[in-house]
Amino acid sequence: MSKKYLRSLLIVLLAGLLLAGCAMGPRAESTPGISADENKIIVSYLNYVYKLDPANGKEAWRYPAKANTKQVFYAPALIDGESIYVGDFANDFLKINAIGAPTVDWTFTEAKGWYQGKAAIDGSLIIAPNSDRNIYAIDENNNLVWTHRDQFAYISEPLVVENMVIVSSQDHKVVFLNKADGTTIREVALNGAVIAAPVYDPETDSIFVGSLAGEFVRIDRQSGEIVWRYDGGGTLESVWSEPILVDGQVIFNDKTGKIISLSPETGAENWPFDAGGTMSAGLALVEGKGFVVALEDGVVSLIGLDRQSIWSRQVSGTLFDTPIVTENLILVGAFKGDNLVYAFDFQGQQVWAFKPEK
Amino acid sequence: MWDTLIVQPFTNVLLMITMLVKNFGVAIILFTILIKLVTYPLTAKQIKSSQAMQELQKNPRYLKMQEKYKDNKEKLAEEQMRLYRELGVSPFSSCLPMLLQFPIIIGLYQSIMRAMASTPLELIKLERMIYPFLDSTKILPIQNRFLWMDLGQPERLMIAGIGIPVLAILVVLSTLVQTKVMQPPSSGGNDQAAAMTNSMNMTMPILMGVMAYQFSAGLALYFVVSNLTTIGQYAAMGKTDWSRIFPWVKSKPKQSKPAIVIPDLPEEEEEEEEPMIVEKISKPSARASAKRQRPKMKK
Repeated sequence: MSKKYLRSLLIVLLAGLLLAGCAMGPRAESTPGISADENKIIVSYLNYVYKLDPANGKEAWRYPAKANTKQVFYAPALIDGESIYVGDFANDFLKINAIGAPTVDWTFTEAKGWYQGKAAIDGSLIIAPNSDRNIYAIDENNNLVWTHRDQFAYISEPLVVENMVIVSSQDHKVVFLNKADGTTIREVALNGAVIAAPVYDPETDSIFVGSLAGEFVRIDRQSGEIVWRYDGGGTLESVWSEPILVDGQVIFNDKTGKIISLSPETGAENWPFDAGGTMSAGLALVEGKGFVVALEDGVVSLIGLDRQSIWSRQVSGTLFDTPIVTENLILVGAFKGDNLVYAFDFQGQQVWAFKPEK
Repeated sequence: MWDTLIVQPFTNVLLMITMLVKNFGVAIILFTILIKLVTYPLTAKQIKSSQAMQELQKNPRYLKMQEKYKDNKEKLAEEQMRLYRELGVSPFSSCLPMLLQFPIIIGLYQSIMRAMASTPLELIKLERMIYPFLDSTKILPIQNRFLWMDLGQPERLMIAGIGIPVLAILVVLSTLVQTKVMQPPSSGGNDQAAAMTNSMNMTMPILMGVMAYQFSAGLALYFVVSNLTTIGQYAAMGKTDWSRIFPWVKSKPKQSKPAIVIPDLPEEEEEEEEPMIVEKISKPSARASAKRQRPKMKK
């Protein structure tokens, strides 16, 4: 090859690098999606879905065996026995058989957007939110049962209660759909975008959810009426995560790390508590102990319901997602940390940490 | 620092435009044009400097100097530098405006990326970037739909079940036109440079097209608008030779005033290797012209 062509090639490569510096990397940035049951932990991150052994955090398998740069996974997987349902950023939704080496049972390919939120399941109906502004309901044989279309990307996990699918919408509302056909039963308008998934309280037959407008509401499931709205006298900041229900309280947090306990019945404030830092992640309930707080700066704490700190640990990386609590572990996903997942026991001892091997 | 000084203000301006026009696609178009207009003085300076260098390199005196000292690189470099100094031009003067534009272009690109927040994490980051005087509740979420596109996703126009990447095609075409428009006329002297330029001109549109095909439609839209605005700026300065793109068009670029004037030296002065007398004048005075035309009296 002559010198002049080598130089031409070098210039082209440099130009490519410059442009690549602007545009390469994952098309969208997100955090590891973690889900777990008593036998397995599934982590979705970048080009793989990992199955981990809860006992030691060792990788049991990864899917796909060889990375496909177009296939990016961030949505937490839905675990149903040995079946795993997970969507990717190549617009595909997969059913993976988790026994032994992972095999794909089927792939749903009708969506035109990314899967970012965890899917929900009710019997044999799988309900998957998608960025193409649709919610897809698929049966166990990969047949599309219905779709529901709206104005903005669906990124939150849907909630199924009896005959209803309830889903948060970025379009400043909570949408109630008919589970049978996906038709709209009602829409309940809020003041800001709703990113957090709704939580159902069977005691009051109500839905609890917060929005980015600094409000937290109780919605009566049957009537769609907003029973009460809490804004802390205008001091509440945006709510990015779902609440927990414990001991006759509904507890949630805003982005400033203010944790609030309310009466589910009346919306009256029981107590406020300052977590001590910025907090996008929600609270994770540890039965009989309290709740886990994950601050963005990497501090993980277990706080008792009396608001006394039981233990506090520092991990590497930024924490944006609500920790996952299993029978005996607290799983914390870290963004750009030394490890991807940290596992603590309920006494605050780190049991293991997972970092994918290359 | 970078985010605070460049990306955050850009993102907020983009969001303000989005609030005003209520359409993110239109906001990207207006914002790109606005930034291009703001950086127009730099672009114009870059074009002028580049033109001055091109004129200099085509000048017979410059070529003669090259020929004369072709075996003495050191002397040639020395003479060239002296000529540059005397004319007040610099081979790097077209690079400086370009370098100054770089942070702005990258900031523009990053602000569009930030505003197109598609994932919850990106939304969190965007919310924190919004200035307190803007109501983030009204801004978020940003409606990414524009014409047939979802600006947060790679664009395809479905026709008869086939997804046609219209924006990627437009990016390729507009980049091709832009590179042709910006390409200096060939001096015919340097094959290697010409080969490199041709290679770049062929590769860049393809590279940009591949990026537009793979990445979000919002970015592809920005590429198209940016290319078209640059072409428009060249056309406005009369630097566009349309016949290079459309061979059937006879037009030539408007003959503007030369950026530099290099007076020819009489033969004997050149022989004596006296320092070259050059003037940095955009328009030679009548007196100077007359003096130059006057025959020199031989002793």
